[in-house]
Amino acid sequence: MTSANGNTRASSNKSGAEVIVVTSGKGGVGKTTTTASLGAALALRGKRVLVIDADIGLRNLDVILGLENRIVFNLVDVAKGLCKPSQAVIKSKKSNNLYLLPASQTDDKDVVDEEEVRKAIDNFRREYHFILVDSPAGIEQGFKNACAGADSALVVTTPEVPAIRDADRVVGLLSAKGLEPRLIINRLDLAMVDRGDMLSVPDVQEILGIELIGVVERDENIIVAANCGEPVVYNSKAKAGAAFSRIAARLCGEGEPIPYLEQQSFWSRIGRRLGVA
Amino acid sequence: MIEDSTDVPDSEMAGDGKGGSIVPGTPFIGGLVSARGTGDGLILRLDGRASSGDLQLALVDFISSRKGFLSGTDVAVEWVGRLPDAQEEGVVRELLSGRFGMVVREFRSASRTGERAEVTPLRVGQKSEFEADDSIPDSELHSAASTEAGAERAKSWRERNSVVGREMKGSNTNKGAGSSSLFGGLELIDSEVEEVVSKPRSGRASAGRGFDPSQSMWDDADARVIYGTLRSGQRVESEHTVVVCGDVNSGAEIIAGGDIVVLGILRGVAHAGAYDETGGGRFIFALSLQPTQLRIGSTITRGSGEGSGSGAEIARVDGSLIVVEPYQAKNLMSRR
Repeated sequence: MTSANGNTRASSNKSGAEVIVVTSGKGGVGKTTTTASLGAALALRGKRVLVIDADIGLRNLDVILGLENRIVFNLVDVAKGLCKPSQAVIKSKKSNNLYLLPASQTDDKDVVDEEEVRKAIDNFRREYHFILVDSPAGIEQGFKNACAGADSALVVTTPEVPAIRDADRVVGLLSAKGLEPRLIINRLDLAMVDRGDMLSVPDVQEILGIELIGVVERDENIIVAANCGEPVVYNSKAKAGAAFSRIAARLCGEGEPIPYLEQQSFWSRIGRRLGVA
Repeated sequence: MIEDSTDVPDSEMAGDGKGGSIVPGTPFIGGLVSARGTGDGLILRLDGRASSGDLQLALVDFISSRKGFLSGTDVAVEWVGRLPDAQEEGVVRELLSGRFGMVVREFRSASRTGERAEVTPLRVGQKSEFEADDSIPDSELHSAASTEAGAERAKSWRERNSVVGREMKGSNTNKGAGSSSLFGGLELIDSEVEEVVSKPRSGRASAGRGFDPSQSMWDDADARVIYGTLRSGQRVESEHTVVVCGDVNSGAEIIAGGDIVVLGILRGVAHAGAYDETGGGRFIFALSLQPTQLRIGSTITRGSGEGSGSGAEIARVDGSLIVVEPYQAKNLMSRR
């Protein structure tokens, strides 16, 4: 499948990196966690990965990876030609395969435009298997910048109505850009789904209707990992870590099917409770 | 045309080759400028929390539509939220004197302390917080002639800047007939929906007509058919009937002069008979009716928020209410 900027999605090793933007519309649903965790998981599988923080002004990817004290140059410097691209890239602490291109904290999102970001990313296409771009929340210039140069998209949502509404909007915008999105459902709580207090995976799919690439259950280890600056995939006991590893496998074309799809629909439960359905 | 706030050319949008140009969305700038008269003369109030681009646009529009009243006067300019810097002062002075022959007496801060506030652009639907109680109401500033021109300009403004997000046209105040709000009535309604009567779109009284209720069969050659699901934020507007072969997600809108047929789940907002006060006997049909709102003509009803009854349903106006009942083909034409 060819995306709007002409790169084919299926090829990765041969003709340059597969560039994937991680976005959501809604804030706080787990884009940065997903970017860092998938980056680390792909690196563990032997892929060379660059994660780019496109959240200019509110950078977080560096903190999640524990690299905040090592930042000298950033994405804006590369885009404006103020440094050599390789000078801005930081190797991660635990892996020789994972690198970070941080955002600037002192600018805001309008300081670069799509063309500048696309050209900045072009500097790195030949050196990596995967380039993951962490998008800011929203649908304005920051989001547009993050999508520039991407071949495909991952949309992250939680199983909550406001998040799904925003994700739906973003899916429409991404499709219009020719970036076919795949879905990650984050913070699923199976106990709540069973009680009928949370939307199930089929409920979310009924509204969004795009290809589901993974489900990550709610896991306290994520918060701990974020505060320690070590992605959760390095914690062998964390359920969420295992989930991200499975998603990474699917991104490489080697994944197993997703087990959450047979849950009973939330709406039919509500209907039964009210004696309607 | 399907409106979406992307700058993707028409050819790349699903299913539509004849819509208007689609341009990136901009924030709602209707409330950024107001005017009032005092003992010392005229005062223009500008919302300094908006970006200076938006402010200048709003200023030009505001003065242009009230040229007869305002041009050539001298005026004090008051800034809410912050004071302008020297460059901005210069730009505003230039703009007012060059284009409208207005002279600025002074710049001053509207806030008590005059401190600099963070400049954040207004988000769509957010009314600018300041509404001077003693502003000159639009009905006095607009002459009948400028309303026409205003409506034309509102239309071209809309074509230049498609508004993102939910806009609801309504008029729940007692403004005089000659005063339509400058930007074609873009006002966010805060009050309970039941109290609001949605005014049908203006200026297209002939839209959706041609249907003769005495006929038992009728062929609408202008109906639009959309293949695919409408996602949140997408909007279809047509003077005729609209058929969607797919779902209409929450946050999407269909505005049709004719009927609306959704071969899927309707979760968004649907407005049938949109150019006719009475609704023209139009209906809204869906395989599963779970709307946020249904509107037919000038009647509105809220969705109940739960799943619908089972099976296809059709909504019509009955008296002053919208009534939903299970769909039966044989009743379709006889009940118009």
